[in-house]
Amino acid sequence: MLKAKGIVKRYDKKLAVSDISFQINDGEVYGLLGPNGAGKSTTINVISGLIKKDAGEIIIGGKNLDKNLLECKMMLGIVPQELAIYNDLSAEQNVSFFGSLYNLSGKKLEEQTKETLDYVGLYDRRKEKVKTFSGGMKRRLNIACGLVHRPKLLILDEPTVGIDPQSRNHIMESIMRLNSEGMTILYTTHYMEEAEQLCNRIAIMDEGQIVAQGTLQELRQIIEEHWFIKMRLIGEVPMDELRLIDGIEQIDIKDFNYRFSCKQKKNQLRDLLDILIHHHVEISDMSIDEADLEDIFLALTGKSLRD
Amino acid sequence: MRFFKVIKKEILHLLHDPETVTLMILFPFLLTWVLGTALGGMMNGGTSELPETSIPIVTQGSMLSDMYIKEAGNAGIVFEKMSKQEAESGMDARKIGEYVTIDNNSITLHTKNPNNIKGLLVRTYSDVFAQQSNIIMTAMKEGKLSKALQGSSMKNYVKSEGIQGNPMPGAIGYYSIAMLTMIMMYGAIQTIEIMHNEKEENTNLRLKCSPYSMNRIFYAKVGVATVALIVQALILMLANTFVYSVSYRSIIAVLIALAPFALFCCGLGLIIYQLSGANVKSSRGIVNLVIVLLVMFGGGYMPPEAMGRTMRQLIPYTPVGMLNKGLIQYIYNNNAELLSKSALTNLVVGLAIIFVSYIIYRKREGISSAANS
Repeated sequence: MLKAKGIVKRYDKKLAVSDISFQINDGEVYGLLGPNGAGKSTTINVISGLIKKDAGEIIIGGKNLDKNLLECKMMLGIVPQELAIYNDLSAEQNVSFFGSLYNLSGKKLEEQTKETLDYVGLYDRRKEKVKTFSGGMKRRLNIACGLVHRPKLLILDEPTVGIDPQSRNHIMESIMRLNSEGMTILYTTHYMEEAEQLCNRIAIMDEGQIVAQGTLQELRQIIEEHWFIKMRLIGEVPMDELRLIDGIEQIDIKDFNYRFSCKQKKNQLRDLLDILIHHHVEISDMSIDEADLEDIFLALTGKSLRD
Repeated sequence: MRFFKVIKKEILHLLHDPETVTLMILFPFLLTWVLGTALGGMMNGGTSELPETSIPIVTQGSMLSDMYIKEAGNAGIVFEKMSKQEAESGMDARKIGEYVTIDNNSITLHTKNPNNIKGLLVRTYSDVFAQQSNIIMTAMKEGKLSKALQGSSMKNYVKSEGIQGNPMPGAIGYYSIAMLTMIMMYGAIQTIEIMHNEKEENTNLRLKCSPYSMNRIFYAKVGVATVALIVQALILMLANTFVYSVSYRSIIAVLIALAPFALFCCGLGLIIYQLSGANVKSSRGIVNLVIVLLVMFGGGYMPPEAMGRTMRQLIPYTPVGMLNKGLIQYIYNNNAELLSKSALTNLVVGLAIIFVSYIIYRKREGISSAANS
């Protein structure tokens, strides 16, 4: 559905996107994961024809974006990070207007407007002005306006930022449903849970570059030598001794919860238990985990996603 | 089809703000009445059949306050003298809604609701009175008015000037023209709002991502702003015709002559908005200032006859002054020559500034011709 090759974008002297390439297959949910300022939004803006790239090539649905801009735009549906809806119009007027920009008219526009509003759960409130809506409802309408013309590729730029859990769940469910119906989706987020839940493949971006991409399993293999011991410890924990255990790289503590980042399977667990038992520390809970996206990101960039 | 959808959307935006639309019509309508009746004595004409407005006034008694009360009668405002104590207790007991105090330094309206029509009338009348007094005081200091005031009143002094000796409109007639052009100028601000709406709502991102031409969206916005202004002018003219019995000779001909001016007003808003870097606050401020200057130098607040010689000579060369004078000549002398000149000038200047605004808009929005073919 989309091929991006060697995309470069500079703002004055700052390199916002540096020679990135990726491909999104038909019917796939592709995630762009990275902290704020990683270059996700710039990448999306280049793909959607909003800003001009300095180098590279973008092919959407087999069409070169530079040569077939209008055809490419027809295939795209955009859900910007910021709400992009008219507050003094009704939900129906908003969806209908944006639908009409994509050549929809008459009965077809009417039907697709109705279906789309129904899809995001706003049909019953279609006649109400948007300014009376809650933040979550506005977010859903924001998605509806990008969906009404049934795009082949839907681009969602952090659509769940700053909303309540209920609306967030609604949005996540809608996206999964759209994908199950065959829509290809490009999804940017800095919430790793969302990327894990939604995306078939993920690209991790940092400082304008894709530092890794693949399925979650493939990404895990990048740091396959890493594993994590989680414990809930009560008592006086001998931190100095724990830090000296061979193969433990980092210890994160939150309340009574300890997370030991281990490299290579040595005898870290046995050593840990020996020390804790020796010091009469109570272990109320324990688990051994695989790396999640946060760990992968940390391992690849040396910083946290929420930095 | 899509073009009409964009136009429909812009109209919906306008209609969803009925307060502004109503005010745009009501304000000049009331102002015409207040200014027309207040200055009716000065301009030898202009009567109103609207009911009188009665309001209490607290005054120590002075030449200025007597003049203020007397002239108010011409504006259909009747002041009832009372003591400050009576006025305050009346307000406390909710027997009166507002009252005015006047001394040699200031005129103050005391009201619990400054936006009601009574308050608006008194404020507008007071503004006009203050301006009028300033002009008279300045003229008196220069010794030009002393002779005229020795006789009856300032009425004769002003009346003798006339517009080139031709038949002249009464005060209501004059202000029904001056307020019409003035309120059309405020269309510049309406245009800024229409242009800025997309930026404010972030919808310009969505529009730019769509396959629809941003150029056409620009044209649609300019078109709607211009047509809205013409419609507002039409409503105001009809209201003035039916309520004040003002004659525009031919409303259609006047509207045709006003259309280029509507374009000019929209262009004025656009160019200032674009030159200010699409900053709505600063552009609104600049437009407000420009309007006041253009209206003032166009004889919108005061008839040229009530102004100094330099101003009288300058007024016909300003856009508003030329149009006002052209309208007066057309309506009262059936001479459309100046009006045609004014319409042509406004059309050329209006199109030119819209074109420049469009160039800046394209550059700012990063619109390439390929992207919007």
